[in-house]
Amino acid sequence: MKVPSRWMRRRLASVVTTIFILVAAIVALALIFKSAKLDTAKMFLAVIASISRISVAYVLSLGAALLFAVMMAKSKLLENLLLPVFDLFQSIPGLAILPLAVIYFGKGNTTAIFIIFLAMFWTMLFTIIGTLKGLKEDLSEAATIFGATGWKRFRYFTMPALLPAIITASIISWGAGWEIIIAAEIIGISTGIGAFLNTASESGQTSLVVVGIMVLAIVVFMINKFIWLPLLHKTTKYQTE
Amino acid sequence: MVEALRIEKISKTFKEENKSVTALNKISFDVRQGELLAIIGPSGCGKSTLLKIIAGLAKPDSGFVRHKSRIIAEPNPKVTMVFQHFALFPWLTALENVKFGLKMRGLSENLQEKNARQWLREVGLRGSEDKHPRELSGGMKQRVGLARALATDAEILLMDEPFSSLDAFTAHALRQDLMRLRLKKKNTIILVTHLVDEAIELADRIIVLTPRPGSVAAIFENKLKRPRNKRSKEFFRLVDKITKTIRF
Ligand SMILES: Nc1ncnc2c1ncn2[C@@H]1O[C@H](COP(=O)(O)OP(=O)(O)OP(=O)(O)O)[C@@H](O)[C@H]1O
Ligand SMILES: [Mg+2]
Repeated sequence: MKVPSRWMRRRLASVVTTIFILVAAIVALALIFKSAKLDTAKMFLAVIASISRISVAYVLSLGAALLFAVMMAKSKLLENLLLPVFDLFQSIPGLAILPLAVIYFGKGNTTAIFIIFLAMFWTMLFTIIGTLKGLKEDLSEAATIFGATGWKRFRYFTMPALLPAIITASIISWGAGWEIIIAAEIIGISTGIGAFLNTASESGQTSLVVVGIMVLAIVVFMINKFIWLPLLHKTTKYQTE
Repeated sequence: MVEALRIEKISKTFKEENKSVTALNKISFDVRQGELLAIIGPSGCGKSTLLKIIAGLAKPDSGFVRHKSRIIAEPNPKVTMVFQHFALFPWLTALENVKFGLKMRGLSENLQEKNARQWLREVGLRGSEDKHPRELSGGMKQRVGLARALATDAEILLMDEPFSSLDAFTAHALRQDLMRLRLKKKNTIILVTHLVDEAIELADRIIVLTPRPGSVAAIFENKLKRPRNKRSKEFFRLVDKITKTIRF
């Protein structure tokens, strides 16, 4: 009984969100066609700029988190050394760094990527550390017994074992990434969808702001629906014994 | 009779913040080539610790394990293991689990596939090659675990209570399979168990350990004819003899 009802609920939720997205898309398109003044090309470029920043920051933070987490799992000394430092840095709100980053990196991509990196890195790092610690001991003993060492161990044991946690952390990180990049682009960075929305708002172009938000909603929704959710589904399916 | 392993005066103490637990105290014995040696002893006497040291997964504080003329201190292709709770990789299918060890040792994809399929057939899992662990029953999982261990070319097979998380019927069937496969593969097997019956049914020799810190309390030769009748007088006599030496 429990399984079909949950399935039904999921199904229903998915139908509702799809309808919502369709409505949003229609409204956005209608607005775009209604006012020829809207600079849609510029808007899409702005969205692409923001997505690119998040993507680059994501790849960097995933790489760095994996590197540090695996090193810290290997060496107790490194763990004892780095963990308190990371704990301290983690408590600095990312946006507080923005003014400082602007001084060093200017108002462009480097600052944007740096700020998103900070917003993503801690979640990724602490999730991966926690998952490595929580791995069943006999599973990693089995990997050792059956000869998994070095790169092969990372590729065929550590990565697959971490994958569900990495996907979950990625979803959270991308959410945080969107939040922070839009805020940063409104406050201190002069390009990207945040800056675009800000400019539109300041020049009183309400429909442009609405269209921008709708397009953003559609993009975020599509990334979740077509990238993260399928990945999440695929990895969790066989992970829990 | 050829010596497969020499366990020489191994001691191991676990130190935690304020207390320390000595798990093994100068334990010594030989393992003969091709025998099935059962190790039996009260809970916490260091049986699992001993197997981990033999596998090279843990380091003894003193003493050593010697295989032929070599000291084993690291995980080693000569030694393989079947785990109490199976320890199958959940993201891999049964076939991929068996292939894992072969892949790590660099066998060609063809050989991996061929050997893995063959060993899954040997343990009676034809048709389940593409199932993931969570789709398998406990008994089937342990069969995969057995196939994974036997598919490697390790001479020494360590088994830490391999049947204890299975129901009685499944455990019985797996014991029979182990006896059958053993004739094929001729591994040297060290089996940890807490069941005297199981030890006598399967083993050529039985080592009884003392309570913690573990050391050898007694060693029994088991000359009963195979297949062993668990209801025979000789069987019961040996059960009594061994049980008397176990202290808790
Ligand atoms: N990693 C560890 N850290 C601290 N203490 C440990 C560790 N591993 C084992 N011990 C302790 O060493 C002793 C022996 O443990 P071990 O698991 O080898 O016993 P065992 O004979 O296998 O017991 P069981 O029959 O319950 O499986 C126990 O008291 C256990 O608490
Ligand atoms: Mg044990």
